[in-house]
Amino acid sequence: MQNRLTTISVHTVLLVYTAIALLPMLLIVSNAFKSRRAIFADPLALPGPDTFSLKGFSKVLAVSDFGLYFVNSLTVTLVTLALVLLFAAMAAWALSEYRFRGRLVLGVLFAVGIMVPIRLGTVSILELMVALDLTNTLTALILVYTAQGLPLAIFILAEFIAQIPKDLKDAARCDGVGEVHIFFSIVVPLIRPAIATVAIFVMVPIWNDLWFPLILSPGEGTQTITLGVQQFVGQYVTDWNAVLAALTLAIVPVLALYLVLSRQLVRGLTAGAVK
Amino acid sequence: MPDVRLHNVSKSFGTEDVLKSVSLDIVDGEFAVIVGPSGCGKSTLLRLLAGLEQADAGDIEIGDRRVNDLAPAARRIAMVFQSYALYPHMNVYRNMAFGLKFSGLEHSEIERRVRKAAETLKLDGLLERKPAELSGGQRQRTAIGRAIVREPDVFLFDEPLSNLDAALRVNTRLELAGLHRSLGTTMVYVTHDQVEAMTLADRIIVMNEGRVEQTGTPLELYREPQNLFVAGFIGAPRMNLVTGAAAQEFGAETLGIRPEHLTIAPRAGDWTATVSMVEHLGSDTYVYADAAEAGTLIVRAGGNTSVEPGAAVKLKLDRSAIHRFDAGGTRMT
Repeated sequence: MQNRLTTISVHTVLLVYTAIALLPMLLIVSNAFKSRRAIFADPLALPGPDTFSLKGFSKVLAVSDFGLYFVNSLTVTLVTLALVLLFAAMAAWALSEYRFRGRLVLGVLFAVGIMVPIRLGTVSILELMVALDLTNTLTALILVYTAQGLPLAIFILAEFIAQIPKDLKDAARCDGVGEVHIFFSIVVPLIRPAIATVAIFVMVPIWNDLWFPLILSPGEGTQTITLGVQQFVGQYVTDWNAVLAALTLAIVPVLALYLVLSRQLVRGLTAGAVK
Repeated sequence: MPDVRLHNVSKSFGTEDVLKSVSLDIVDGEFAVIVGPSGCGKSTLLRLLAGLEQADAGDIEIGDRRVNDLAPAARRIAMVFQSYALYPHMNVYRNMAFGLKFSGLEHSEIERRVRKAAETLKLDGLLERKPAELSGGQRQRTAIGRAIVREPDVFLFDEPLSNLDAALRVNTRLELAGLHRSLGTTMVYVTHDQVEAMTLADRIIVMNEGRVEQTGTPLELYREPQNLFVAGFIGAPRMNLVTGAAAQEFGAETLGIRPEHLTIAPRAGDWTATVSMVEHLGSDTYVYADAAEAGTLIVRAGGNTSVEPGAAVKLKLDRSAIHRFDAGGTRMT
């Protein structure tokens, strides 16, 4: 009885939370398929035969360089993701496996990186990018996002790596497997679920970010989707059809990546390793 | 000749001295079993041999090479872990072949070795399975197979049977003994189970608190334990150790009598005792008797013994088979 009650209350909380989280998304998607008049007349209604319209999508695809923004966003996100996962996993392995001078200091530094928001350093970052002549490049964004994603990723991955049985690494060492191969052939496959989790954590804020693209690379060729959408948002008139259609399109890739990665999450990969 | 030699090897973790100047000689081809209670340093000793820990002092030699500073792979050893430590994401074949890939062997040679080991260990049909799909015994054999394919000079076993159930343990024990006979390679085997030690070993090394207490063949240790620790550790049920006046009667501080050297005598005996408990094992009967002079004694009697708890009995000891120890716990001759 007690158990049931707990289950029900937990699920109620989760359902309410899900509804709150999903409602804005539903609003965006449903309104993206409505005519401008219908959006204003009844924003909460679903698109019906009278109100259905693809005008927003055609406008987004016709008027703007939507394809370019899309590619820019995808490039920045994927390259950053690859860099963060590689460097974070390597750093996490080093921090949890090897005893070396300065290990603690390094660990604390990464922890501080989690606590201090990177945006506080925007001015210095901008100065740095100007000095390096990297403004209006995707490289600037990739560098900043990599720095932003690393601390938490290292923190999470180090926890997982520490849970890999010591005997496995010792067995590999007795087998004559070098440290680099131990890392790539044994450690990385075993922490795949953790890597997938971290990938989602890292990916979403980058995809959604408006701040750094606006400051570091607002140029014509380097705009990301979030920035591209802004051209439909005017000071006096906002083209809601186009904004909503662009946002709807922007959800698709991040959703696809999430689906791919989340399949990794469920697996318990260490089963059968020891005992 | 790949003899294994340790000379005054010491190791401490922090302030705790785990190994205190241990010296040891293991002859080529020998099956050496290191046995001792948990925390006696036996696993650490094995890890030092494997190169997974570094000795603080002393020399470790395998063959004629001093291997202190060599990496595990360069020592030509193979280790089987208590937890088996199989790579969970690789199937049986790849588990065995993985280490060989980095040794510069031809692909065909790797395949030949793995197939041969699989055949020896009856793993033929299981090569495509992942460790999670194997039974405990099959995982154990895979771990042994991974060691065999390396064709090492020395095999190191770290309590390899302790995760198996009793029946399987006996089987695997026999298989290990057979394996040693057919390979003829030096094996160093760590266990806390003295039955494994007695049955497998050419030579047993008894360790306690970071020191080697005694080395010798199983029967040497059983018949002539050099000190109280070995006397108490080797043999099941354990040796009766009697102190006080009863021991001084024999000119010793402590008197040791194996349970089979005590008999329940019908009339006259050395001690009078009251039976407190009787265990029937079928072939043997263990009788626990409280003697006023000697404390609780275990008597190993025949399977047909019919004494009841509470009965008063006379105990007679075989004077030719007693062990005498002095105040320091050392054997007296």
